[in-house]
Amino acid sequence: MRTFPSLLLVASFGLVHAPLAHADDTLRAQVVDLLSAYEEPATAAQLRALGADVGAELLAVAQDTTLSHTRRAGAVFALGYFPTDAHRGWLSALATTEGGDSLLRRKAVYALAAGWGDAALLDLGRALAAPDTQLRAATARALGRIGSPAAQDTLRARLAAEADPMVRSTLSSALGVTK
Amino acid sequence: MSGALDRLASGLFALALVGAPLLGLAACDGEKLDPEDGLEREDLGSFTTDTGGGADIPFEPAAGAVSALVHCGPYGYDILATAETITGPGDSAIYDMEDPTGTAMRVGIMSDLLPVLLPVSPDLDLAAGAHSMRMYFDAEEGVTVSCSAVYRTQPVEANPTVDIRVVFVGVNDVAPGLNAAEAETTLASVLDEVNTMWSGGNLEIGAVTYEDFDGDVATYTVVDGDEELGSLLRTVSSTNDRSITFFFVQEITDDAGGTILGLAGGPPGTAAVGGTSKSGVVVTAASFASDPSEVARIMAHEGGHFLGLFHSTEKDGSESDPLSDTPECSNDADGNGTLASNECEGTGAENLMWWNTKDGATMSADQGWVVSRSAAVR
Repeated sequence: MRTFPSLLLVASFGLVHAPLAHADDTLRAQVVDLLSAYEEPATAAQLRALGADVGAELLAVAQDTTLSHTRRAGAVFALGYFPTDAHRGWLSALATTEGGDSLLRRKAVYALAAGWGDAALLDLGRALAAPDTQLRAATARALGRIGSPAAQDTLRARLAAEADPMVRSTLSSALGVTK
Repeated sequence: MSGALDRLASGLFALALVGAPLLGLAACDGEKLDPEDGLEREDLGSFTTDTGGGADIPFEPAAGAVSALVHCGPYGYDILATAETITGPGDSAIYDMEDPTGTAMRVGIMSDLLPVLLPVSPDLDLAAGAHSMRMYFDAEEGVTVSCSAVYRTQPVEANPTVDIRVVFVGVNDVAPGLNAAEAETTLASVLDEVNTMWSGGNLEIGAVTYEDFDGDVATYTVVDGDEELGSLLRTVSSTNDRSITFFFVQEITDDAGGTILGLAGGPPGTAAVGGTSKSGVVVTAASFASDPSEVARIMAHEGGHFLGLFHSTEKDGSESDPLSDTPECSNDADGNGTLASNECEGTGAENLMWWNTKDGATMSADQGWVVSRSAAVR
């Protein structure tokens, strides 16, 4: 099995843990089942229907390195539906830790945007300046979805400095600017 | 009418793939492009929607035809369309959008281009003679589309095969070994698993080719939204390509940023017709290192969609396929609105076209019958 070097770095910040003990294996199975859909990511309503503990379970899934990468990504993204302080702190660290797993970081920026909006602009601004072009593009889209004046200002500032054509195109789209 | 469309759109049928201009249809009316390949292609003409938001598309399979793939487009990314009704010779009813499960036919709801495969069940024969498909668009009148048909004029051989073409779009960075030079080794076990899942339908992978994407890798390695998806699928060659093209990308996302494991043009895809927004399959390969079997399941499932299969049962139980040997599950034991895999053990979750990537899934005999009607299968 491939070891993601980026995860080792993230682990040093205490973000990744061994699989947690599960008081409710049924809930874990339900959550993973929803995160395993081929074409439709799990919705907030579907996850909330699983009960009050689903947010904590999503965090556990997101941290469980024994699960497939896409399941964990789905869990990271879905944390945006459950905007607690604990989730925000974890997502913030994930999104802004350089060298971290690119897919999970992209999901973290979407979750931060969806769950906290303008309150996440500091983290999103840092992600928007990251070396990873796909992360910058994802962050641009996430900011575009927030759509607030402050988010637009962040996008415009980055567009002025951005050199990568793909990211520039994404920034322009997020701003609603004709490419 | 729009209510029915909305209802359908809430289910799987809203795969809503998109695209851009239909390219590469070189056939003129009724002209056989390649008489040896068992297919006959027909340019059905251009049609403009009337005041009812629809257009009537006539097509006429000849005697001996075993299937018809009718496809109409392009109509852009902002419009959804489906078939309102399909009738056969003598105005016999084949499909009704208001009561799809009352027929043995299914039709998707698609943006940009609508492909329809007839039949999609052994309970429905393709009769020779005049057919008509009434398309319905969620748009004002005046939408003009070009329509074509591909008729399969010969049944498949005893052991049907489908050639596949795997195109790697910048995935080697996150999944070492997923490149054209190494794929024969690194993907061997994945393709074996696909064959195992397809074996219940007596379908097997034929020739396999591997390529590294020669286009804009930076844009397409993370496919964000319908427009990029359609644009990527349109890069499939417009020559008489009867393989399934699987694009391996780092990730597909929906408009909100959620990860999608795989998407196929269709169902069905425009098999044997390149250059459309429904001309292939896109696979999220992010889990190749941690769970290569997931990639196999995505290929097998989305390949099934491309070849004409619908979900055996939708996640919310609202829709099911028309096949008699794929159980329909309705056991929402906990009442949460989702048919979970453990609620449908033995009653559908073991099928390849179950809505999620459950282990051990297989294709049924009826599903094998359907895919053997696809123009991609030999």
